Amino acid sequence: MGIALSFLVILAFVGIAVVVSAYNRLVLLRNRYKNAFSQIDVQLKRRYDLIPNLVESTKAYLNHERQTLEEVIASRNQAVAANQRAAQNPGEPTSMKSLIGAESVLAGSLSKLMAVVESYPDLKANQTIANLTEELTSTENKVAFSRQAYNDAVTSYNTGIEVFPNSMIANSFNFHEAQLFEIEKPEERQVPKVAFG
Amino acid sequence: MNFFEQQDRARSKTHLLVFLFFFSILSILFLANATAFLIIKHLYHEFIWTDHLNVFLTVSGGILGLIVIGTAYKLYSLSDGGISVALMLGARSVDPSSHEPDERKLLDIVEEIALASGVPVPEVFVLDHEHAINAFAAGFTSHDAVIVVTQGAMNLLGRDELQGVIAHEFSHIFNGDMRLNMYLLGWIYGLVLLSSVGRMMLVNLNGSNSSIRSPRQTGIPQIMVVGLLLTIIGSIGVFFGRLIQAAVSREREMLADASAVQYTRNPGGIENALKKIGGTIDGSRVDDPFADQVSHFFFCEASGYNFLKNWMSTHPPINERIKAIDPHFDGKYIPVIIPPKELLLTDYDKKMLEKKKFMALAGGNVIAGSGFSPPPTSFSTPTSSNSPVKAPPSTPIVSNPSPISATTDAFSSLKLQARDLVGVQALVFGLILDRDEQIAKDQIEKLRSKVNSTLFDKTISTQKILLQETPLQYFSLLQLSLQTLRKFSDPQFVSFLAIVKELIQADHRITIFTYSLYKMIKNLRGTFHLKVQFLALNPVIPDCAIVFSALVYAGHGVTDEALRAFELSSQHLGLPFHTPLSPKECGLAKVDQALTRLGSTVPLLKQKILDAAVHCVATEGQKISLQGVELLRAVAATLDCPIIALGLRNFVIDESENSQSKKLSVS
Repeated sequence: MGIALSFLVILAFVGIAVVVSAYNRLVLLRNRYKNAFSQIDVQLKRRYDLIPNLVESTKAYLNHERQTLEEVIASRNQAVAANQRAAQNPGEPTSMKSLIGAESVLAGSLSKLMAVVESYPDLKANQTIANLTEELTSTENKVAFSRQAYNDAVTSYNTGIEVFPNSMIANSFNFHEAQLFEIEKPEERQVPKVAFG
Repeated sequence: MNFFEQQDRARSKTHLLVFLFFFSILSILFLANATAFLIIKHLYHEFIWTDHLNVFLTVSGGILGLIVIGTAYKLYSLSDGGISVALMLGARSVDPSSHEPDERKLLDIVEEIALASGVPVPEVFVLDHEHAINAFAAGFTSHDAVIVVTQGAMNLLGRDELQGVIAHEFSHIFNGDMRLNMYLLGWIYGLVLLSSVGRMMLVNLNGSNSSIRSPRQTGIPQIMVVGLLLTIIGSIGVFFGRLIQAAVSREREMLADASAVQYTRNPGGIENALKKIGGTIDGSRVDDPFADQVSHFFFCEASGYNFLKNWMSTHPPINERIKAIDPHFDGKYIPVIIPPKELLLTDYDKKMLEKKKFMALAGGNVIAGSGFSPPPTSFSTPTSSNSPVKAPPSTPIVSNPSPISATTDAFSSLKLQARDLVGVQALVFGLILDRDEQIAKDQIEKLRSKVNSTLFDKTISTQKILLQETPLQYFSLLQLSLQTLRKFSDPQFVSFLAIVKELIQADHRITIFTYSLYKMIKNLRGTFHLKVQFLALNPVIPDCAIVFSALVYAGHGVTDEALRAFELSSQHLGLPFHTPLSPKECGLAKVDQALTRLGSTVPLLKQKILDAAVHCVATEGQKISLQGVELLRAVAATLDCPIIALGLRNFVIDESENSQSKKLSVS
């Protein structure tokens, strides 16, 4: 046994300790963003519960806006389903992308409904509806804030699996890049294209 | 025995821990080297020290290095505090504004106890797939503490029982057990790492060997022998690790049980919880693979070891624990079958559930779980800081909840606001804004330039409601806010803290309240570790003088009364001072430094200092103004002491006094 061998043995020990530590670190980062998703989940569910209430209470006034109401309900149901899938494995790109899609459709149809509500003075004066819209807006804000928190956590996880030596461990232990939760604002999407010239 | 004495005992336990730790390292080294010696002898049939010295050095160096790396890594990864332990076990953080009845019950219980004892409300986690009944608290100080319960505990225990369990965990937070447990976790990780590495070598090589095995290679690969040896030698580490866990944890569990009875004044609660655990097979077993590492944190035995039961148990047997609470215990446990969820709810919960349904139908705000009495009442109760653990004080610090109706009064709406991610920001800004309109003007201008209009409007409306509240409620609202602020991501937290800082500085005067608000918020991000540095009073005498002077000015203004109060507290502690420092000499920067130093005194000394500090804000006839109590709470919180630890029993809280905001001016 020479010095070289003992050096190798120590190196092997240290190497294994580094692997174990890096692995644990990645698990921690992953748990952190999954946990952040559960915060969004709570707020989204709260919002999904509020929407039928709002539709119920505006129904009586909005007989000839049936289509808008139906759109809201349909897009809400789609979003609920998409959220359920996403919540099972937060960050998984396909289900996250379908949630993002469903959410922006919902946001679009909701803002349409809000615009309608604004245009009916009777509706605006109704206390229950005012409460509901207020609650909806504040939930919206909370969703935005917890989404930001989730995105921060995902970013630090994604950076975590890219840097050396974590990247090697990430490859061999199935740590995949997680998907950010970014929603385009409907009003931004609907900006009409103006052709010059 | 009070908190300080218990903290002191936890500290001396640490010395035992260090001793055992080094002893186990020595035994591992001895065993490893002895093995190496035998192998060499077997291979070479003769043994010359100088030829093989490097072998022994390698073995010892490698093992030591591994233990050191393991421990250092683990302690580093725990530097975020309790939350890292919770996340390691894959726990889910419960949203403070949750409306789910079981979660609400749990959150309310935690809030009640935290508010009554004056510590920040800890973040609450649930282990979703654990159906047994168990719970633990983790963290270094009450600022980074988390409470984790299993789903079983949340669902199967009634409100009183769960309250008993949570109170037990809180006593671990106050008694300094939790901190000790955190270090223990790091050290044991190092000890156990050796056998983990060994097992990894065995398993991995087994796997890869089967695929590339060539016919020539029939002998056992050398590396497998190394793996096997490491596993065997490492098991010494595992053995000692578990032994240390058990030795440190066991007796302190009994103390925590007794404290839980003392806090809740309800022996039935924790007793029935224990009976329910005893009534089920594996009633407290936690299956998560990481659970072994933290078995010493739990409320009840978490691992299913049968081998060497008495030595390795981290907790005393259930029946002994029940007997300690109720000497007439007849050995009858409460069998628990997992019943349909509705049956688990107590009457209180059912009412809340109905109310929730009703409110949802009505479409209004859901106000759930206001079942706690506001802290001022629980605060004015005499506390027994010097009585033995089992002698009950006349009133509980945690009052039992009365199912009060969903009130819409200002305080409950603020409480609700404290639980949501956006509302909490407005609330904290509102708490900082000065009660004096003129002074608040600058701050409001500052705020307008820093935040968006929604948040700004919300802050202004919040401040209007806040003006109706007393300073004591300010403190409770701050405590509640902290649990929500923990949910912020790092960038969110940093930018929030920056605005808080600018707002505080905008009025050019800082009150002790805003100071401690800033401190407590800042401490949320895990850099807060009070290290014990001072064993005697002498080195911190100047610091006491600074803090006391600041306190008397804040409590009485620059008056003769302030001089008398200073002399009184100075005498109380035996300080060589008769007159307070001039207001210039106790500016905020100085107070901050002084409090940091006082925070690193030994627990028993801390108690004396805090006792004397009480005299700073008391007026003659032993009355304390609400303002004074607020200051004390702030100081106690900064020093990481629960307010119930303060010796306020001889004082009457004067609630009649118009609590005018007296300022500690800082230029």
